[in-house]
Amino acid sequence: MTPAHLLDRTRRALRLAAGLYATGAAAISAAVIHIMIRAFVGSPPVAATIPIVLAAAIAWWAEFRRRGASKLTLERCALWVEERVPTMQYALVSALAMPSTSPGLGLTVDATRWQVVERDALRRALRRTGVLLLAAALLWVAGSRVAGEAGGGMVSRGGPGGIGGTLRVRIRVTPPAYARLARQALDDPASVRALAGSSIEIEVSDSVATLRIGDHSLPAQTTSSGGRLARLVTPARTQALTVASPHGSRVVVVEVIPDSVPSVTLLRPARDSVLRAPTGSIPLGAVVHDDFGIVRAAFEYIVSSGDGESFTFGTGSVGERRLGGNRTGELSASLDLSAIQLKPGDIVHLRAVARDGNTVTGPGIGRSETRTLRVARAGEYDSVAVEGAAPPEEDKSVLSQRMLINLTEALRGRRRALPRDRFVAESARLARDQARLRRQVGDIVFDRLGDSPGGEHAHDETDADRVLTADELLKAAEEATKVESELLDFGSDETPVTAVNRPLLEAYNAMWDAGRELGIAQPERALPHMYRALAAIQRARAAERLYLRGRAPRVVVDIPRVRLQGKDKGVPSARTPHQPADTAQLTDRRRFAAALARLMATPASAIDSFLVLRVSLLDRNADAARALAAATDALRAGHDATGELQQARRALDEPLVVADSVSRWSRGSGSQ
Amino acid sequence: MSEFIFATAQYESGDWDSAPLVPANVIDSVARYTSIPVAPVGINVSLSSDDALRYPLLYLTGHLPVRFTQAERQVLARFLGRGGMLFVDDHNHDIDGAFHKTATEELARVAGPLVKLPRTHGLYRAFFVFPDGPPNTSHELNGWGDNLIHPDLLAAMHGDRISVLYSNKDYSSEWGYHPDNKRFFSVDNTRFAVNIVVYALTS
Repeated sequence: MTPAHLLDRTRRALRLAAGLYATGAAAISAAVIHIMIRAFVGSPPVAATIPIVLAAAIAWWAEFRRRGASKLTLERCALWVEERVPTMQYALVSALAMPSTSPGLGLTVDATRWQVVERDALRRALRRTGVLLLAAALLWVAGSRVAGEAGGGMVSRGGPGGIGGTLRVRIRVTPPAYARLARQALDDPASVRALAGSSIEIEVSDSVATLRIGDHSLPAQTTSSGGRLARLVTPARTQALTVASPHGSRVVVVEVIPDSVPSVTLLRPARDSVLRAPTGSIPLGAVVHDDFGIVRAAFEYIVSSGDGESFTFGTGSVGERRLGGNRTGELSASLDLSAIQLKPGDIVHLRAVARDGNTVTGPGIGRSETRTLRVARAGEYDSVAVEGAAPPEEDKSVLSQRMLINLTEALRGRRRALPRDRFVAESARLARDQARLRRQVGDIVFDRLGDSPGGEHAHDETDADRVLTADELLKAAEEATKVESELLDFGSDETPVTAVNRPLLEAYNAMWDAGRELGIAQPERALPHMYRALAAIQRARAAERLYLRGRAPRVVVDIPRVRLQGKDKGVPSARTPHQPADTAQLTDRRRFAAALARLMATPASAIDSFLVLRVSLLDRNADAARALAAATDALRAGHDATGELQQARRALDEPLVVADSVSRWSRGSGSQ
Repeated sequence: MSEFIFATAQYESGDWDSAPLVPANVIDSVARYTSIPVAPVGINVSLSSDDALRYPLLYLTGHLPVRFTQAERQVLARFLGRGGMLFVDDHNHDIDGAFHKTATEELARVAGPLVKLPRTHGLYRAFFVFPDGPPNTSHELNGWGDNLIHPDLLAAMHGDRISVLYSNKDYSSEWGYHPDNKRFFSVDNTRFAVNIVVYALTS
């Protein structure tokens, strides 16, 4: 073996030693950068590994170059040996420079066991590199604790490897095709947000791991790499995915993003309205929005015809538009009222409807507010209504007055044949009948005016002196109906109430005169008044009957009477008290406190409890759920989660809004 | 204990007041058969007002299409969430009619899907016992409306209790008479109303 070959081996050894030194320096550099990132940034994201690797590479190359290993020639290598083995007296350098001219030098080189020097160099390099690597490892571990200790909080735990053990979970989410979203892959996530209907693949690194979603176990198959693979479709609501194995466990929140139904806003017509006539067309306008895309939209209408107990309905749609999956769109059309053959009294219920492209859980159908267009009935704009049925009191009065006239005319004919006292007695009897009839007419008038016949103006036969004249009665009637008169004044000097009652009031007055004449046995002089009263009653009978529009009569149930004076002792079924309204909130607080108490002793268990609590809070306390998500993320990363946990506690402690003034069923202030 | 007040729900879109005599008749029956403290008159309460939350039972009827406003939906959702019960009766007794289609659509949006209420449900034993399910109405038996007898009621459940009870049987017409005329019936046809009230108050 020539000296050149021996030196080449030494050069490789020296380069190896330089590489070892460089490796130690690189490890120290990486650990330092790691400490800096943890101190100033917090939990290192995936991107934070780039500066660490970069710093390590630079340090390695710099140390390698500093050691001169990159330019280590055989001559430099020979001088390095000669420096450490002076007994060679430059024989090695000479042999390398003049290999063919000096064979004795080759013997000197062979005789010298200078390879010992290179082994010493390698041993030194190994020792120092080992020390440096150990120091770097210590620095790395210390760096992982920097953030938690610097925060001074109650929570500080190791890095990702400390929670969940060596178990690794990789999740791939494939959204439904209609959403046109990209697939996503996540490694060891704390939570996964997936659109409803997405396909989810869960790959676990442990071959004996079991998976559960909510309360149900998830079937899994063994992969070629020795792990477990499970698939599921996004559950209906947010649930916790639990992965458990002898090497650790993990909880991953599978958060469901629902596909919202389209939002539809009807712009035209802007409000409900009443149409005088069902002619022309009505412009329609609407805007629609959706989170993933709208397929089509249209205006829908229902036409209601009829009244009372008889209604018919017709439906239709106009202005349908295909939006091709756009997220927003506008609709415009016009509704031809003549085409849908509306009649007076018909009602058109109009709205806009949009359908999205959800082919998994949908389609989602969004509907706007409904506008109502009503076609006015004939005479609707009058302030009074005419009803068909009428009470028959006037008819009764007419017959009675006619009967009285007949009896009076008969009495007048028999005057000469009757004794005076009997004639007077019969006339007085007719006077009483006339007074009774007059009272009935007065009752009719007062009934119409809302007064009571037994009230202020009540009278009977013994109260003849206090009977009001027609003018007084009219004045009293107008005063009694002053408010209504003002409301119903049609511009003339007479209110409708007065107008409809005037013939009866005239009859009332004439009956009073007739009764007075009959009372003094003067039937001849009474008859003209009686004819006038009959004529007035006939006019009232022939008059148009007007009634004020009003509500149905209010029925007040007489409870004691219905209960037979309260002696009925029927007992209702036993009542089951409802749970207090805040039970769920109290339970949440207890679960939170229990998890918090476990946090120091068993952090992994506590984090899982927080995650499960978060799942149950999503739909009723979004603030607390959000704070818990942040807390669990921080805890998993080994960070201080004091602030997030405080936020969660505050959100859980939000006082309930309880309206103490509202009893469970008490008399309210609703309108009657 | 406060007295029970029978509340009729006012809504914007239809003829909510098409059965004005039903409240008095139901009140009469509740007073007649039970000792539940009951107010002698009912009350009309707007479904878009928080006043609706004061009552354990709301009665809603009409002939015309039902389209709730956003405010009405919100109040109704709160009402049902707080344990209230809504009794809806189709005054058209017409299962294919506009009231049925629109009301069930609106109710499904607010309270979830309406499903057939089994005839063994506690509602039919809450006070009187109706072993055959909901009593038929004279309107059904006379072939009015859609000429069908609707054998079952529909319901939306809130947990294990009824939150929305929906009827196509036209109890609004069946019970729409003055309570004084109840004496002419050999069997009071409003007894099922007592079950509804008692169920709403005790479940």
